Amino acid sequence: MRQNKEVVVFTLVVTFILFCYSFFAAFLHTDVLHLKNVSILADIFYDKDRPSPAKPVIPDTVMSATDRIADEPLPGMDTGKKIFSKYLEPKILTNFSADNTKPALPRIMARLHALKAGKKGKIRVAWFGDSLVEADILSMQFRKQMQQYFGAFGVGFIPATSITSKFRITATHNWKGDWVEENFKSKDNTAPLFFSGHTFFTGNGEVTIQDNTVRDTPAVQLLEKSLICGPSKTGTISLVVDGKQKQYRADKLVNRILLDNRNSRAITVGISDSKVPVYGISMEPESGVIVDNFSFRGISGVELGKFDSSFLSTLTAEDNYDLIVLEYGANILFRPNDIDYSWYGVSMNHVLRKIKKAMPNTEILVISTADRAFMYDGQWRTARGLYNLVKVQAEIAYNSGGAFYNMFLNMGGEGTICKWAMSNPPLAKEDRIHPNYKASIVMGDMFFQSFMDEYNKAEVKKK
Amino acid sequence: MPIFNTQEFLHQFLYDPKNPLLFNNGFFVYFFAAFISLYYAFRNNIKARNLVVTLFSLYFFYKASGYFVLLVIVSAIADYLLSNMIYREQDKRKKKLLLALSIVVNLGLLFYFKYTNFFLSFSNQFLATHINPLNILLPVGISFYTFENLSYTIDVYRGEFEPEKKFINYIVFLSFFPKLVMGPIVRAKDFLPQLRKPYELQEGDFAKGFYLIVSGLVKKLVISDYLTLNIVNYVFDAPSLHTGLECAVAVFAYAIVIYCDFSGYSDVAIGIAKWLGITIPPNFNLPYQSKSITEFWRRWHISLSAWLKDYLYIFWLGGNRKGRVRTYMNLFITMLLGGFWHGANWTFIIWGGLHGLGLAVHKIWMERAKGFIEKNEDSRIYNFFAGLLTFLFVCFCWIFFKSPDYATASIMISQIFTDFSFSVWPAFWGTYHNVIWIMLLGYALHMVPETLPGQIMERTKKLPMAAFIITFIIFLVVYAQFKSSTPVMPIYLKF
Repeated sequence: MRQNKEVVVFTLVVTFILFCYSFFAAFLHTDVLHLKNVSILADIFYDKDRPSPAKPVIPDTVMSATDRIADEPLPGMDTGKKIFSKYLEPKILTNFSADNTKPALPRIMARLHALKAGKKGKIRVAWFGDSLVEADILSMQFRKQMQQYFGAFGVGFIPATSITSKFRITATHNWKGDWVEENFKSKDNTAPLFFSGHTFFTGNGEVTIQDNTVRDTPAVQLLEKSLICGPSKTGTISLVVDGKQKQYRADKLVNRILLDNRNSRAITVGISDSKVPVYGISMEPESGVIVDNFSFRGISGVELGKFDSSFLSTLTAEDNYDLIVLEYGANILFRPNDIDYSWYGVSMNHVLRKIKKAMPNTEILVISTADRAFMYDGQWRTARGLYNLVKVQAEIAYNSGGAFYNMFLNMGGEGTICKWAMSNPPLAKEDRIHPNYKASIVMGDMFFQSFMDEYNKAEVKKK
Repeated sequence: MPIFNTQEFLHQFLYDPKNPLLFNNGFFVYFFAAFISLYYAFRNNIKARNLVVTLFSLYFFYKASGYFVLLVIVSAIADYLLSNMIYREQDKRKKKLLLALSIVVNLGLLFYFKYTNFFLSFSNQFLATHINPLNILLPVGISFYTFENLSYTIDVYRGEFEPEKKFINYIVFLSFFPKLVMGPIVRAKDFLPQLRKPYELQEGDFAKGFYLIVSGLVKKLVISDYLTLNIVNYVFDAPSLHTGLECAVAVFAYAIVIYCDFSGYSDVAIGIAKWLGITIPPNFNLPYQSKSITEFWRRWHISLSAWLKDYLYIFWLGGNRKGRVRTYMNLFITMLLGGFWHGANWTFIIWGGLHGLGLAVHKIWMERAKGFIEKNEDSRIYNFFAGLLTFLFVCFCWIFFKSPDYATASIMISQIFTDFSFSVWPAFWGTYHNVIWIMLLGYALHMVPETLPGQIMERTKKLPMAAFIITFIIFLVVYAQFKSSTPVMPIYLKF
């Protein structure tokens, strides 16, 4: 019978010890060896005075906004009265102008109005980002909405090879042969990098791309398919396009070679000159909005400073980009306790000066970091430095004379990514960094709405 | 100053879908203290003791699964009545009909709750129908108690034992709280006789139960939960964002996670049962030490594989009595359905199919290479490679088991085979060194000799009570360092 008693005695003694510890820990605020984690009273007592262990730093408590935004403004910056704190206003895409009737990004808005009024032309948007926009997941929705509203179709630029090709739904992308890659992360690059951050070389490569955006909009236009590549020593390049060999001119620093402009939505290109830098293929309409996704995993945006200035100038002379969208954050917030991101502001100001100098007619839009969480004291919480990073990113936009969109605020602010990761169905990945495909549709739609608000302001202004 | 929250206090007694009652909940401490006090108080009054077990078990189930507790009661009533009718019926045809009715009722409920939406989506995809999926919640434990019900009525039909006359005993068998939500799947002929005996533990039973409970909790709450939260969930959630090395390590981590999670929970269930004077056979026996896939299934989820073997492979499909080819087919079908039992998803079907294929191939190998095997069965090199091959095959299959869909599994495989490089090791080690240490601990625990747990239980049985209490407090201190605010539900809870 002793054995029977052992179970009861053990259970009751352990329960008593745990109860006593939990009781004293609750009242004396002690946490010896983190034992509060196993408190059996935690669910029924709450302490209203206990501070939150990982409360993010509130804006304006760490750095002064005015110190940093006093940098010399870039050429082309609107000199009207500005209000920096507008970056904290929800649901707007702001150029910080005190005059709420002035649209942000006025140049592209004017061009869009002309396009809508029937004027032919291509309006190009380069959407830069990290893994949050890879596989085209956010730019896809913006492109879809823009092309539905303004007409046209076409997925835009696709790099020759891509690690995200398997899950990019806007294009079916396959390649064969041996490809050598240079990119943002490789050393001693031998050719300028394209916007995608990659350059490829192949002596026996073949790439096939099928544009899946054509299904989304009625095929009222022809689809132009162009190879984007660097110069050939001979000034020409021999390509096999859909099985037929042809010679093309390739004598500029960057060449956009039109391969086909029929209404077919797929193309196969064979390349056999291993000395020619190959960037990728663009599938675009003859006229309309083109949104190119230039995502590169693991970067912060500072890497854009590696672009060659003369390459940018040649690219701009060939095909001007009307708008550059910069959406970074996750790789800047890579340490949970960082709160000072002034280094990032300084670096990005340099990068944008360089870009603006080579591309004077291109407007810049900075999208803030999305919410990202870290584990603090066993709990997932929004990164401590996130508010400060958003502010630095707003300063970058302010200094560039461009516009700013507060993605963090618009997706729901603090704690959103944690809620999304735990929701059913989930809207974010378990890492509490990456919103998933479903969420990106919502985020893309919200962004499009704010963009169109500015477009509509431009229309009012015109009248 | 902490404030007592009356509302939260009262809420603790109700079912909370976000926080179902498990062995590691704070509430379980009170639950078990109250239960064991009453169980001990009525130790010699079998009727009252079984009533206490029934009420606490049904309440436990209510706290784990809400009003689905009614389903357990309905299911118990149906099978209690049907089994007695089968037993009394002399006409073989009618007996068979009653058995068929029991199977239809049990599998009907299981199919409705578990597979309706799977077949609707199958129909929408392949038959071009447009039926909206239904909002059906899966009752916790249904796969386990359905199999217990089925084995019971089939055994009664086969005349293997007389059905239970007292309904209360039958409901205790079905709802016995330590094994209700996640098994092990117990057989009535082993379990019911133990309910009719007074509560009397033998020397060493307390130490055995203690060892199983504490080692089970360490496996589940320390090793499995840590690896789940710190590598497995991240990588399987977005394998394309991770290198081949991370994906490969995540697969090997998952092998430890699923073993520690499920065997840990099973050990706690068996340990608690042992404390209550009920012996439940082991559910796992160091499965990754297996040298063939056949041996793996003798060591992994033993209660399920034994059930599938007895009631599906032999009783239903004819086992190996219908020729060689049919034997291979039967093995394949058994495992395919075993995979489907885990969940209504193609990934489970692929997982089961791969294991079925593995069993069939191993059977062919055993027949064709008999001489070679006999010659080498004591060779360390042969056994090492046989064990390694088995382990790698099992890990490969886990990719399908863990992945939410086929696309994720194929990306995972593609990353491992096309993006694998040790050049990322320094960065990998910087991020995951703790994960690697915990994984090594998991594998080291698994590599111990089979006899070691028995030796520990034997040597600790004479220790004073204070030693057990101190050991348990040490466990709590360790657990407190690892406990995360994100609860990690046991993997088999959703099956």
